[in-house]
Amino acid sequence: MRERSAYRRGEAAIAAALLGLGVYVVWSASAMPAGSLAQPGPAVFPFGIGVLLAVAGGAILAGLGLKGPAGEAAPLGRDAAVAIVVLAAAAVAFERTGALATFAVMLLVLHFTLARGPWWKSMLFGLAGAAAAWALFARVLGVGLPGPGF
Amino acid sequence: MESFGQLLHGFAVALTWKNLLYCLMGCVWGTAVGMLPGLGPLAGMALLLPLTFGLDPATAVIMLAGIFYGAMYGGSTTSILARIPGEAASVVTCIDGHEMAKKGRAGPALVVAAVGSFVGGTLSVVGLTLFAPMLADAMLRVGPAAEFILMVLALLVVAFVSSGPMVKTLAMLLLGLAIATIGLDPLTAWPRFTYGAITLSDGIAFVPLSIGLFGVSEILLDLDRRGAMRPIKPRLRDLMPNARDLRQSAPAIGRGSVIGFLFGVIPGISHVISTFVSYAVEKRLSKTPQEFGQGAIAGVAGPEAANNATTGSSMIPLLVLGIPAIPVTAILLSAMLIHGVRPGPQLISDHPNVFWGLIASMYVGNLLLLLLNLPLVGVFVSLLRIPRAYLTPSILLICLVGVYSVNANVVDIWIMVGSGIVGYLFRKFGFDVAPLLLALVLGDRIEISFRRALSISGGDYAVFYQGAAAKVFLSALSVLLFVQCASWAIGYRKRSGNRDTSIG
Repeated sequence: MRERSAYRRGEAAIAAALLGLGVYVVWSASAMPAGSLAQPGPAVFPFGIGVLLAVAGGAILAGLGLKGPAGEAAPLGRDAAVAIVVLAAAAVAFERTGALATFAVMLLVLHFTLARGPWWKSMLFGLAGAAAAWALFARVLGVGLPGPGF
Repeated sequence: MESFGQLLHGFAVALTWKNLLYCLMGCVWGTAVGMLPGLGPLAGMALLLPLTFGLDPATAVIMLAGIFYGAMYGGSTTSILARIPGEAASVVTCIDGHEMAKKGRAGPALVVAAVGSFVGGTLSVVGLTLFAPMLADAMLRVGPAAEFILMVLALLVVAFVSSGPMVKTLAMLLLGLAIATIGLDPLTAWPRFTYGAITLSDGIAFVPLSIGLFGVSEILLDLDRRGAMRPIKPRLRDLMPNARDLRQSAPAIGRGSVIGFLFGVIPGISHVISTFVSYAVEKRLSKTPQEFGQGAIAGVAGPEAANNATTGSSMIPLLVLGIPAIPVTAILLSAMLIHGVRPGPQLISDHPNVFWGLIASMYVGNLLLLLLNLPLVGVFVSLLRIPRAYLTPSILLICLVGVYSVNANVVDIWIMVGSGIVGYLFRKFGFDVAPLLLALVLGDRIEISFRRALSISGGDYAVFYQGAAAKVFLSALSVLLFVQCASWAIGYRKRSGNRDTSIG
């Protein structure tokens, strides 16, 4: 029951965000040249899309067209949360510390979180996986990756 | 006859050792991602898209198409052995396929699924070979006004046939169109929503967005799910179906192929719908409908043939009209554009190697899959036993490298992470992200054709209902809207009737 009301709340939050985005697109488009009937300018398309997006967001918020019972939404799990943080951290670190170090830490943390086993196994997986990924992508496939960073 | 000659030329392209190798790689990778729950053809193609940049266009498209129909094959294996559909179109196969596996008949179920997939896939490529050139010829005479109506029609069909609430699908389509407006205006180069950032001048990059929306979000959702898989392991010597199996499955495969081919050209989730329709038809026509749900082989053969028959026909709107009917073909479209190939009526004359090479490779790929999948079923099943602690970090690492390798730009990684989180939230709360991708791909062309049509007509909106093609598409649009409004009215009357009865 609690998961169903969480589902409806999440649905409403997304609908509100879409409504807000629609209003923002309309507001931004109104500052662009509208052109004429024969030569529509860059404002016309985003303006129309913004209006429709706001209407669609509003309709979802009002519960229109949402047939049937709500689905169930499990709360954000620990594993998914860790994966999001690791990916964001990898984006920050990738060019600063280099690909090899980023790969090693990323694999280590994710493996440790998901396996819930001894840390040395995760460390081994991190190091071996990073080396293998570096060899495959940088050496075999010739992908330009930021320096080793060690 | 001319098409036959060009098809032979296509075989000359597809049968070079390089294209054969990439076709095989695509098929094997496709089978693997189709089997692994959470990774469907979309994520599988999005992940390997960056690796195709160094290839010539025909090879790249051949490999990506191989992933597409390989995933359709692979999805059935997990459905039969583990009752977990590897991808959405294999849901129906779970019903009778897994029941057969539980009764020790996994082998015949797998063989019939593979043969059904092969026949369905091959027949639909024959249809593609016959109809695509004719349709392309007709489409050369379509102007921007008719093109605009056709694309709007395609998006509305997606919204109307979606499995979830239509208003949510419409919102996703509109969000995709809104994202498509980011960057320089295609006709006047006026910067829209770029905030002075040069990176945004070309718009939001398709590759990181699609990997985020489909690959990363799917992995995050999978991390929220729990439960181990216990696939049934089939024995090779038990693979062959008996005479009764063959008698029951042959007509089902034929009917499934026709249903799949017809549904494949409809934009949206046609490959999923076609399997349900095929299952319903088989159950209706069966002399023993009570066996359905208990392990009826026709319940595996028909839907599997239908599922794979959509792969060929869903290529028709992409190759001939330049309109991706389903998200998978949107990724193919994106790959073609990256390689400087614009799908549409002129594709056959401008890039015969790509067009006929792709079609010929689909014949070859279907045969490769049939030959590979049965002897290697044990190897593929062992993929399901790789612990998540090893698989998930490895896939996320491939996503990261794949996205970065396109432009060597860390902003793309941010886009991937951001769209992954957004896609995760959308999907968690019942918003399908596939329509967003379709609208994003078509957004530019919809706007350009709309503005060009008005420009040519001097601002006269009558241009949208003049000309034979515009009239045909507009009539189809009107019929679609009428049918939808009628179904709303009927549903409303039924609900009011029920309410009155319960009050009374």
